[in-house]
Amino acid sequence: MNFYIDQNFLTDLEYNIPIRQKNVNQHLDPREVSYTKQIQNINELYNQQKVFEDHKKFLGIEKAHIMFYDLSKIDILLWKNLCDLNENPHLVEKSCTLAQFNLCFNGASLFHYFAASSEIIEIIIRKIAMESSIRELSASDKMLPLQILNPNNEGRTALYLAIQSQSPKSFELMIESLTGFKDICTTKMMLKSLALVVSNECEKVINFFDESFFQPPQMRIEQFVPWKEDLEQAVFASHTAVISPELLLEKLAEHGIDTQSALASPGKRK
Amino acid sequence: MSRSEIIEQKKALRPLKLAKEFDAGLAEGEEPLKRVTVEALDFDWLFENDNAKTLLQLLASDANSSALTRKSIKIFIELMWEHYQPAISKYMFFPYCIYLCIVNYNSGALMGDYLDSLTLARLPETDSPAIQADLSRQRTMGLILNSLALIFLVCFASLEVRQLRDDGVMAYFGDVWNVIDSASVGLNFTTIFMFMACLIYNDEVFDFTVLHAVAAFACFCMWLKIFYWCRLFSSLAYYVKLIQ
Repeated sequence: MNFYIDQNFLTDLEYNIPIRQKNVNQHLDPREVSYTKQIQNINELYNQQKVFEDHKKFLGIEKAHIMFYDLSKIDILLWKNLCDLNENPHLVEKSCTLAQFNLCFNGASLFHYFAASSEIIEIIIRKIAMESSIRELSASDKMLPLQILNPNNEGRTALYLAIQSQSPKSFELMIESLTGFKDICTTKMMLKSLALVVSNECEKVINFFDESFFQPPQMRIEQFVPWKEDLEQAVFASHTAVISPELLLEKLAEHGIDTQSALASPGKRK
Repeated sequence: MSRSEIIEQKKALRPLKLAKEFDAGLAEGEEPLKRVTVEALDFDWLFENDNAKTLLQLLASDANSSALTRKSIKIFIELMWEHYQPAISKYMFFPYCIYLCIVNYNSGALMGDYLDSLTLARLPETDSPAIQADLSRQRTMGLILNSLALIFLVCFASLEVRQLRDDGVMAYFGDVWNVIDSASVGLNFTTIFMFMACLIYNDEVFDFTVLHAVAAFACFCMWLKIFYWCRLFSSLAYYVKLIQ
């Protein structure tokens, strides 16, 4: 074994990856920051810039001499051992935290690797549900199911691999876990599998279309507009996702709502 | 008297009158504003290439019927329907109505009158200048209307041929409505051809009984198709689907 130690890293030179990163969060004192917090900051790419020549390395923005890696040897060893022990679902459930599921090995997430094994997929999704019920999930943990839509090095999503490996249960579980991401347009990333979602017999899969809406923070801001008493919702086509008050009033006028007074002074009433 | 009625009576006896009302900040006749939020359909890829068309085809053919009841899919269909309905009405339904009227008038009135006039003109005891004038007028009208019907027939038949080519024979005839359509095209063509032959030769080229029977079936098929067209209107679509 050949190691390199500096003030920030203990690096395994055989594989050129850090065994433990000492200084990840550039704002905080590493002596006071827990390892979990460091991992979290890695996953959230805090103050980091991807080095495009090698997608496994990230350059710190504030301290450019520090290189960060998304994986540590501890992570790799954990999954290597689990694979050596025949990928026992019970063992996976007991051994891994949510952050340890949120990893990518050679461009493939664990969703990709276990696409054919619905038991492991079920464990991951159950773990997310369980953790979210007892604590506020971090941004990276919340985004964990989106790994399903991340194409691997061959350009295939985990959904595609689940279909390819004839695992409808995995497919159903993955689709179920992809609901509720209103900040992101998810369907664009699953166009190759969308036909199977539409024609699927499982109600849970079909329910995906009940929540496939995009609502970025700008849309979440409530607006006060003239309205018809009997109108439940107004549906209109728009060339942009930035719905300004003027655009909204213009579209409502197309629905026969009198918006003249509101258009004259948007947001102001006498 | 129920309790609620007693309360209402008491309220009527004691109308609530405020000495002064709060100012709602609204001008006379002005309605209060409503608080709304906006959300977008997560289908921005629809605007790329033929994606919208592909999704519509998918929903029309392979989709689980339960998917059609889901919120986002319903919104997508309603939004597309706002544009499709006027276009279908304008370019398909109204021409079909004109076509139906022509074929019905031809089969129900003109054909009978013409054949009656032809029979009367043949007999020396009934032939007269008035009968000849009627025959001539009916013949001219028949030729014009038959030509118009033929133009419409070619247009609608071309749509069926295109659909047959796109779907394949098995899939095309797997749909009952396509069978009715093709039968209608065949019967209309036969009617127009037979009547046109009579008009051109000004003679009973085909047996009148056969001509009437074919025309009757042609009209029946066309009225059946009207039932199919009822799906164009949301108030009737549900019943058509129910009967189907």
